Amino acid sequence: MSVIPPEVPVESEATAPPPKAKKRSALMRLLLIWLSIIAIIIGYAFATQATDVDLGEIKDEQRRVQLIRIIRGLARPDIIEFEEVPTFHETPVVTPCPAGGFDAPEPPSEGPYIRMVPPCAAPDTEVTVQGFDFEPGTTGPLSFIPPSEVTLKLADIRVDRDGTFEVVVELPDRPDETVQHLRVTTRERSGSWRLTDTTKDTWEKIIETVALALIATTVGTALAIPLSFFSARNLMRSIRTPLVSVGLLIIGIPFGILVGRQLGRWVTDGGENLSGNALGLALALVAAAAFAFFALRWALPEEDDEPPPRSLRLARRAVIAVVVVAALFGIGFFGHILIWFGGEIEGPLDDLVLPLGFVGDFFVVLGDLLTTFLTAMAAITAAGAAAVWGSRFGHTVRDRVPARALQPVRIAVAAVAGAIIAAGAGGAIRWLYEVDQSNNLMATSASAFLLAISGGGIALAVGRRLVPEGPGGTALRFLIGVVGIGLGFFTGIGAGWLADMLLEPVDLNGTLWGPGVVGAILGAVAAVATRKLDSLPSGMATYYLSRTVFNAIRSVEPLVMVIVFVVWVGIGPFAGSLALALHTTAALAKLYSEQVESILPGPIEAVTATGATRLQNIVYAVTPQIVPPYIAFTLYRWDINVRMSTIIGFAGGGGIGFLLQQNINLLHYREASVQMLAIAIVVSTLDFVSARVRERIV
Amino acid sequence: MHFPGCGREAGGAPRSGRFANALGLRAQTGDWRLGTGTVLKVENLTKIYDGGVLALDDVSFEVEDGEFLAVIGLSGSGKSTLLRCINRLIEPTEGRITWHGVDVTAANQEELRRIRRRIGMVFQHFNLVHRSKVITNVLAGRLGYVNPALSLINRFPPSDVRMAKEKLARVGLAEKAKARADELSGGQQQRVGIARALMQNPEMILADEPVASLDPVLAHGIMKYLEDINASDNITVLCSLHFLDLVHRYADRVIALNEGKLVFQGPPSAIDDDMFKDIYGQEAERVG
Repeated sequence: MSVIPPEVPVESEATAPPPKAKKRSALMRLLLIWLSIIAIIIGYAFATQATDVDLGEIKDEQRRVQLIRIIRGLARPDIIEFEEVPTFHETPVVTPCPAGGFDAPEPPSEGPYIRMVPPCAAPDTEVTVQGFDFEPGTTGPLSFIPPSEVTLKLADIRVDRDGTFEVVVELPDRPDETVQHLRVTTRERSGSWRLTDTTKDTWEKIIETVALALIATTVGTALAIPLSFFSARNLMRSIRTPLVSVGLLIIGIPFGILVGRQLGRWVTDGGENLSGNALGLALALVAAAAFAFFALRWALPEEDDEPPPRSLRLARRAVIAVVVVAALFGIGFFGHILIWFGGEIEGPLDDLVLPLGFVGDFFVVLGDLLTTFLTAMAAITAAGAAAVWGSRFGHTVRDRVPARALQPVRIAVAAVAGAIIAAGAGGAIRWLYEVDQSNNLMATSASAFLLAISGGGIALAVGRRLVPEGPGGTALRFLIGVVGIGLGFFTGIGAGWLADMLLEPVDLNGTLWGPGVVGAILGAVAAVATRKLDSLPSGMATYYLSRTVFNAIRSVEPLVMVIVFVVWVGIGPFAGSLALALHTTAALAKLYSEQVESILPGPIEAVTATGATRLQNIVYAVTPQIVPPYIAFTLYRWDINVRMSTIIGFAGGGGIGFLLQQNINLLHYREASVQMLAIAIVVSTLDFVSARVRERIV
Repeated sequence: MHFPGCGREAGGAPRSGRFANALGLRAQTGDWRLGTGTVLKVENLTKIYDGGVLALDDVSFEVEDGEFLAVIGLSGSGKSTLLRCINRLIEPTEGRITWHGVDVTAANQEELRRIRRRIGMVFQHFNLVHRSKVITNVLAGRLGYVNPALSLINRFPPSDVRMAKEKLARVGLAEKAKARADELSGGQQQRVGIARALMQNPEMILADEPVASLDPVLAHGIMKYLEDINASDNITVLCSLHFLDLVHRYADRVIALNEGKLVFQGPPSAIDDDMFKDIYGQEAERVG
């Protein structure tokens, strides 16, 4: 006996469908049907006109010839070739005819030969050239050989099934008293077949294509998996955050970026100083790893039955922060070690039987990747940590601060957060559209003035709440108001300073007071407006935001994206893999998140009930359920990426598409045919393999 | 009935006031009587879902330490909602739930985690993670205790792994530890669910229709495990049930819900025919 869980609210049955409108008369219905038929006909007529349907083109004789040429070219892919020796078959020609006439030479007793009918003729007259005893199907050029031996091609011959051919040609205007010749050159295969250069090039490029798809899929998958959780409705719906948390999170991010960037620069500098000193690097790395290991052992005890005292918790957090810094240094050292190691082994590896130098190169690239993105990683990590800490602290504030004092805190935090957002947006706009705000002083004073007024207003409101009525009270309130004005003023300056600090590398040549102040006021208004409802639906906000971003990225085809990347990193497979990786990330994040949305809610409920955190819940209740679809989608995407990477070369993204496009443009259809064949083979092989893997795992 | 591995777990059940201190929570004072045997107090609990459906309507009751309390009522009468409000899997709209002197409804996330980890839960549809191993499912019961960072890489302290094996042995599934959860039959899956709840060292177990998806023979098997846990481990059990005969057989006390209202509380024997019709409606027939 199964029971409908009551948490699913049952739709009320009271709402009956509204009474239907009066029945239409039969005539009306007929009219409507005819009208819609006419409308449909007009629609298709328009579509036909818009798409330039012209059957005359299909029937055009000349176009048919061209089409046939292409099809025949494609049908004979230029994969292998044979070594060939040319054989000349000649017959003497006298033009014009000498006085005594000219007797045709006797045909040889065996072997192919040609003859001209008549044996002699005037220049510029038509003659018939016949050939006998040839290999049926042989083709070759028929040329006129004057004494200078400069060949003059007259026609192409094609030997019939009975070993003969016959062409009518016009003798060139080359009168000469000596005997000249007509020559048919046939080519005979000698020796074994070999691969054409086209095949070799195609092989090289198809490997590049598959590698491109591999890199793009790997990077895309790695990025998409964590992102997909943010756009899964069932995970995000329950996340609600107090306004103070959101505000502190927003405030925390820029500070985190500043701190992390600085840290990253130190690490990079430290690594540079040590680079070249392999032993020093290795020692530093080992030291960092050992320190991190033991520190983590202490800071992350396996189980806690009772909440640890505050001081211990703080100490643990501090240690973890130090470990993170040590880890950053470790990553930096490791990157330099990789670069050094890759450089060292590249030479010896290249001398092996197989030139494996590219493995060394791979290590260099990996090391480069680590060191290049170290600063960015540090900034992101620090920003994330600051955001998490800000959010946690916001919860604490919400729970611990007495209700009376909470509102001013909320307003202040929201104002600063609003200022940061707006200043950031203002900076972005100014940078994008190259706005040059020369009148800084004006903006500065206006914004500081506005903020001071709003700060004073807030402070007065606070004062009224906190200070009781009375003769002393009025003075105190006034004092609070003045303090508020001062605070507002300095907040304005502070927000502008922070915004300028953040955007310092952009060199805006201007301040961001204006947008900052507008943002601060908006933030304060938001804080006042959401007073009644202090938990904001931050989960759903994240959900909609990430969905929108993914959809926007996904709607741009990689073929278009690659055009931008080609400008950035140059023509070649790197641009292609970047474009594909970006598109893959967005597409997979969407597909994955839909899988997360379709998992069973029961296990999540059960794991939540054990007191697990959200992250533990994802690892223990969500992840096991999504592994099979994630693998299936990754394989599917890998499939798509291989197909995409075959044409991404059309736009300069490397891979086989580049060759294909070139050959098509040069009308080399036999060569293009090889590339098409290669694509077909690779795609269908991968399709087969991925189907097998999917069967296995899912 | 006795099961191997029975008996009180070491450190299994610190009682009321001490427990609240151990949580580091702010215990409520006032008319709340600590240490008098009442572990859970539900006051004026109301739940209105977003769609406007009134699932619980001003429900108040108390649960004594160590009792086996059955919650009965028709499907949709609010039994599941009530159980889920107690550990706030569902947020109550109004009212207060006090557990060992701690206001559950006012707890923040961290406090709530510490409360939840001492309340085991058993579900009608077992709610195991199908693709995970049985032992992993059982170990998930420790997630409220272990270090969050280490648990993310699937590392549990050896003592927890030992404990998981003990609990599995207790529900008679020792040899199934390495099997995938979805390879087990319904009754076996529910026993894994019970083992998972036991891993929490619970003070109380909330059982939401634990036998409604099982046939009657298996139902008694599962109920006997709950009975044993209640009797020998002195764990309070709140169990919603469908069948009155199960209620008569296992429950110390009954509360009944009808359309979200508490319509009865008392011993099972007090449910006479009039009471039955109040709970299940005038047209209902007794089957059990």
